[in-house]
Order: sequence, then C-alpha cells, then structure tokens
Amino acid sequence: MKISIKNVTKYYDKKVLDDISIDIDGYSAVAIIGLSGCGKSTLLRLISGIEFPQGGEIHINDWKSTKETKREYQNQLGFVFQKHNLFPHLTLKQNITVILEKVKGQSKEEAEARAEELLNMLHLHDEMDKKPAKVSGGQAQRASIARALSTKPSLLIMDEPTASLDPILTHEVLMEIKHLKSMGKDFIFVTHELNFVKNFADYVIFIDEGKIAEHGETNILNNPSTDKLKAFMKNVSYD
Amino acid sequence: MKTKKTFTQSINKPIQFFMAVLVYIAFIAFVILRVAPNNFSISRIFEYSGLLKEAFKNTMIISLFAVLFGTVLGFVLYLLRESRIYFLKSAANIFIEVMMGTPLLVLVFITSFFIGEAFNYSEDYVLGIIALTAYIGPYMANMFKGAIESIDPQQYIVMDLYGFTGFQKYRYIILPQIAIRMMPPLMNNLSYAIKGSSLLYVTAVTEIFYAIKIIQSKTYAYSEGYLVLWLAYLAITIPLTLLNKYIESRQKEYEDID
Ligand SMILES: Nc1ncnc2c1ncn2[C@@H]1O[C@H](COP(=O)(O)OP(=O)(O)OP(=O)(O)O)[C@@H](O)[C@H]1O
Ligand SMILES: [Mg+2]
Repeated sequence: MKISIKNVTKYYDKKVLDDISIDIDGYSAVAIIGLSGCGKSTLLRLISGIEFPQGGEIHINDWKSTKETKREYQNQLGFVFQKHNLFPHLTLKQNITVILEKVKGQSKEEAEARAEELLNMLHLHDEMDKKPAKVSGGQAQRASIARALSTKPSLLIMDEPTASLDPILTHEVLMEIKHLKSMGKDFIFVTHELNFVKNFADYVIFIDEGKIAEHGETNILNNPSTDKLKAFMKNVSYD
Repeated sequence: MKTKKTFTQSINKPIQFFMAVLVYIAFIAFVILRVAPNNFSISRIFEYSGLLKEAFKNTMIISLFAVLFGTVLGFVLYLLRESRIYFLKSAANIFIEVMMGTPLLVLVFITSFFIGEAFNYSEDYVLGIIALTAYIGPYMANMFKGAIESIDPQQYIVMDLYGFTGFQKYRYIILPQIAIRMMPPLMNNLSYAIKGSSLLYVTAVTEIFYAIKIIQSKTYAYSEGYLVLWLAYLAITIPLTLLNKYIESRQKEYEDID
C-alpha cells in the first residue's frame, strides 16, 4: 500500500493537524498512535474522505481524496469504527445485504451469498439472523468488519476497533483482523493496544499535538529516537 | 419490611377503578335528572340510526384520510425544513408557524368559504379533509423531526460511506427505525382528527355532530342528542387511547431488544 500525504492542515476552532506530510510505500498495516486528542481520528477521517483538509493533498495507492472523487475514492475502502455502528433494526446479515442489494444493485441471491460467506468467515454463522443488540459486543464488531469487507475493499480503515470491548472480545476481534491481513488486505488503523501494534503493524506513525513526531517501521517502538515517543512509550507501559 | 395495609390498599384495583367510574356516572346522572325533560329517552335518537351510521362512517373516513395525508404532509414539511434551499425552508417554516397558531374552526372556515370558493370548488368533504390535513401536518412534521433526530448521527456517516442516496437512506434505514416510534403520535393525531372533525358541521358535512344536530331539530331530543354525541366520540377515542397504550408498551419492549 502506498500512502502519500502532502502538507495536510486541518483546523476546526483551533488547528488540529499542522502541516502533516508523509510518504510511505510497501507496508500493509500502518498504525497511527498518540495521546488522546492529538488528532489521530481526525487524520483517519481525512484519509477516509469523510472530511477534507483546509490545505494539502492525500493519496492512497493511486486514489486521490477530493470532494469530487469522494464516491470512487471511498469505494476502495472499508471502514470499521470504535462502535460497531450497525443498523439496529436489521439483522447482521441484513446489515450487509441492504448495502449490496439496495445500494450496490446486486441480486438478492448474490448479496445473501456474499453476506453469508463473510459472516461465516468471521465465525458468525449462528448469529447472522440476530439483530445487533442480541449479540455480544465482539460479535457485533466482527459483523461490522464483515460489512466493511462486503464491498471488497483492498484497504480497511479502522478507528480503535476494539476500544469498546473487554479483553477477551478484543482478542477475538484482533485475531480476525490478523487473519484478514494474511489474506492480503491492507490496514490503516488507530489503536491504543500497543501490543497489537507491535505484533501486527509493520509501520507506525506517532502523532503529537497535530504533528507527526516520529514514524518508521514498528521497531521504533522498542527504540524510540525522539523524547516524545520515549515519553509516550513510558507512559502507556504503565497502563 | 411489611407494612400494615391501609383500608384503601386492601381493596383491589379493578374495584377501585369501578368506583371511580361510578362517581362520574353519578355526576352525569345528576345533571341529566336536573335538566332533562320528563320524556327523556335515548331511543328517540336511534330512530334515525341510518343517518347516525352514515355520519359515524363519514367521521371515520374523514379522520383517517386527514391523518394519512397529514402524515405525508408532515414528512414533506420535515424534508422541506431540512432543505438547503432557504426558500423551501422558509415556506415550510411559515406554513408550520401559521397553522399551529390557527384555531381549527378558523381553518375550516377559511378553507371552505374562501379558498374553496376562490378555486370554484365546493366539495365540503374534501375541503374538510384538506383543512384537517393542514392542521395535523405541522404536528406530524415536529414528530418526524424528533424521531429522526433520535437516530445516531454515526449511522449517517456509515450510509454516506457506502453511498446511500437520499431516498435509500429514508426508505431502508431511517423510516423503518422510526416507524414504531411514530405510532403513538399518529394515534394521538387520529384522536385529534376525530374530535376536530366535529367542527366540519359548520360547512354541513354529514359527520356525527352535524347528524346529531339534524336529529335534534327533528325530534327535539336535545339532551339525548348531546349525550349520544358525547358517548359516540368516547366510544371511538377511548379504545384508541387504550390501543395507543398497548403499542407504547410493545414499543418499550422493542426498544429494549434493539
Ligand atoms: N468535529 C470537530 N469539531 C471541533 N473540534 C474537533 C472536531 N473533531 C475533533 N476535534 C478536536 O480535534 C482534536 C483532535 O481530535 P481527535 O478526535 O482527532 O483526537 P484523537 O487523537 O482521535 O483522540 P482520542 O484518542 O481521544 O480518540 C481534539 O482537540 C478535538 O477536540
Ligand atoms: Mg479518536
């Protein structure tokens, strides 16, 4: 996967991302880490094309994120959020078929087959006809991963996909994510699970107060070169 | 800890309920006995049961259509008010404010005697339905707003990411979620419409109130007429209220599940 971010600036009331640039190529799982409020989710929203920067450009692979190309750009991506954000009135399966059938125009049979295949892959065979409130948080989150995969994106964008889960459910979701990586999917994700970053990510971007303070292959976590990342690693290891 | 039951607690609920009903019946009986003529007899009203039936049917049809159209109008008003085009937004807002400030009786007059007249249209049933629709629409618009705003904004982000069109958002995601929530206000409005339709008698629409007026003028059975009239409205609206309570309790169950 290729990520190219050039001079990206984003402000709301105040500046949140300050002239961020990075160019990387050839990594398949890129983690964005940093203290709460440093701008990780904001950067991820910009990369997702949900919002746009006031200045700068973002390219993922050969897709450019602009307001005009939003539709095609987002078609390449799958999204997993902190909350599962499944539609509450639909079953897990319908959460997928509604998109494939009603929005993407696939036939009912095609949509159902795809939904079942994905839910089976995420070990939700017995849950697919239940509504989100009737399954565990981990199952709902896995269903949302299945939904994210339904449109066959090559890249999944995830913002703290396990933050609302307890450790056991977190483990179960992370196992699935690992499995997907082995199938060739790419990831850009934000997480507070440093252990997961260490054994899953192959590139790490560390953000501090709206700037990229340090970035590099994952072993920078064991060997931080900036004081900021050193301090960050020291702090989180006390959790 | 067990407390000693007081006298009122020791009598069970249905009996207490029945006693409360008796108090009202006694009060009404008192009023009737004081003011009713000696020949008081409800059966005089029912000599015209054919007319009553027709009127009852008309009241129901008018009210159902008014609520149906009022709901559609309410949804359209909601959409217009959410519009980015300021002209449409203003048009909806003005309509809503004006209608909510207008008494239904005035609205019925204006619709039948002026607007109908201006368009050379004199079908009073239809004009009556239009007046009731215009009256209900703004309330339903507010109900739609409340229900739709209760949907998690994250769902809109998800819909946008997957490329839902505006129509698809409402058809598959938003409206199905608010349908159950919209039932109680819908039933309330049906109740309003049924009561409000009594005002259509001023334009000579044969609904319950108008029919009773005719029967009264033929039989001189005034007190009987009003009693039957009142009971007729209660016979429709009380079951509606009970149905509404039932739906609300089911809805709670549904929301616990969801
Ligand atoms: N829509 C918005 N409007 C105004 N300010 C915002 C908005 N979104 C984010 N911010 C601000 O931008 C800053 C960065 O927020 P962001 O959500 O990107 O942080 P984060 O790194 O994801 O934090 P966390 O780890 O807590 O999720 C915060 O100060 C936040 O208050
Ligand atoms: Mg965040």
